[in-house]
Amino acid sequence: MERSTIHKLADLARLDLSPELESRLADDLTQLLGLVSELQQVDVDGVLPMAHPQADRAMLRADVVTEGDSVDALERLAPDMSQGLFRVPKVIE
Amino acid sequence: MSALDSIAEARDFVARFGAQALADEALARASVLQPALNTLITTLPNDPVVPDATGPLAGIPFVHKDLFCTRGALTTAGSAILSGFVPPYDATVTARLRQAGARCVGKANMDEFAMGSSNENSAFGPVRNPWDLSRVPGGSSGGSAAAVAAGLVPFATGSDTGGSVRQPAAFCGITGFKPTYGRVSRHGMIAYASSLDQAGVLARSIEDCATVLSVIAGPDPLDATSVDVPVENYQAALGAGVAGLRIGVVRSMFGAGVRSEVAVTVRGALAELARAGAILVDIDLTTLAHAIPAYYVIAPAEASSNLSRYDGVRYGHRAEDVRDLKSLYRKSRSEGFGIEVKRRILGGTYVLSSGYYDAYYLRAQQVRRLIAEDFARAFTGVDVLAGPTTPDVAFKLGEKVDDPLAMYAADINTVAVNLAGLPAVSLPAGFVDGLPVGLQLIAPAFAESRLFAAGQALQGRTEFHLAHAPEVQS
Repeated sequence: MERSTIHKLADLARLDLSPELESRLADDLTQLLGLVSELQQVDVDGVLPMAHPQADRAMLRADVVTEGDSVDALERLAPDMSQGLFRVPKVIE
Repeated sequence: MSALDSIAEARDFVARFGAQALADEALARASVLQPALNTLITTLPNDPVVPDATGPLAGIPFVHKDLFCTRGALTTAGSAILSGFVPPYDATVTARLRQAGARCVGKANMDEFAMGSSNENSAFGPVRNPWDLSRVPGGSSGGSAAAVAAGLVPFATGSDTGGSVRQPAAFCGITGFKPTYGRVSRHGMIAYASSLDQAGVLARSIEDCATVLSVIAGPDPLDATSVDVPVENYQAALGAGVAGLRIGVVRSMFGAGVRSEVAVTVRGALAELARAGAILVDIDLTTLAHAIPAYYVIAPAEASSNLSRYDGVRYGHRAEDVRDLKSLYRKSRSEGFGIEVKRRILGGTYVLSSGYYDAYYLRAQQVRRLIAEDFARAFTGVDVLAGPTTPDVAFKLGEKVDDPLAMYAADINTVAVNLAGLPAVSLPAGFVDGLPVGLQLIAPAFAESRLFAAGQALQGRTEFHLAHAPEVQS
């Protein structure tokens, strides 16, 4: 796998990789793609993709509120929150 | 037998001495064995119980895999990125166990986000196998399996995405039950690969798996993928016997890569079922050869999507000293995730990316359907399918940690079951070199009863499930 490819994947996945880790994971991914490449040999003409084992039985529930306002509980979990809002670094210059 | 070996023994102890006394026993044993085994991430000496519960698990202590949310108790999924995460709600499995009176004494160690087959990918260190401390307990439910095998608790919860209940059960000499996809709610169970993940049970006996599954099974309005099919009477199924039960012995599951002594041991257990009246039929499932490649496209794809939620903003680990929002995401995720999780996120990102989606992800989903159809065809001629749960006994710690492909290859007999969404069980079948071997039985969707009948028939005639691990004898 090209260095530029792993670089792009890491960017898409929002991961920082050290040069050593990048090179190790590039090797691992090359091997993984080798393993899964045998799927190309399978005749799948006209076969519908299967996303889910019970796709035709999905259960829907009534569109009603079942839990009240949980801002307090969520605020306790958040690394940085104030006045009910998550704080993040400045996005707009 | 100790009071912590089975639900029946535990019930008896609770009736005589009370639930707190038994919880204290379990906690004391956990504390003694923790340095050797590292089974628990968190102990819960004061977990709330439903007062005066009279449910089927009243006062029975258990260990909960640390990806089930527990209100008020740390839940990590074995990851540093969930450091400090104390859920404000219970998973449905947690709530149902509490309602039945069960008492959670600890959260079990596991491979990070359930990604792994050795429990070496935990941010909290590896778990060791009670049968041989130099060996892995299997994964990803390694802490759960080791806890039951070491006699800490009569049962533990697990989750199974590609074999994560069955494989550690096989490696630790206990019973591991993976229900049909949709049989147990996934609400509050931290996601790895949503179309494959299913909660399961680990216990010494199939009988105890039946008791626990009866409590946690059934539809849940909070999980749209749980299925509204009536829950069978698993207790009654235990006594159904196997007379006339047709067992398809899957040739390829005994094929290349499977150690011959393991194959012989598993065939010995099947012969025992035949003596009890089952009919053994050799059978081929040709598409199983594609299960590993299909799984290692689909599972990472779903993982990369599921794990995008960990961003350092709303909960869990947040990096210091960041320049902007993107670097907050990148640094938090890079510090919080271990290498196997990064590997699978990157693999999933690749197979979902523009230009590769059709060649990998879509094609894997088509192969997935071929595998499911192959199983369906097989079940027109037999009632259950059988093979070894794993190709070999538990391997040494460190043996495969630098070779992810070798680790993935060992999942050969378990992953197809998840792709097809079927129920399966690993039953103790004997020993090779003093280490446990598992027999896997697979049934059609929602036919769990057949697995309980067959499992009970085997355990009524053998004592492998009652054997105690030598490293933890007290």
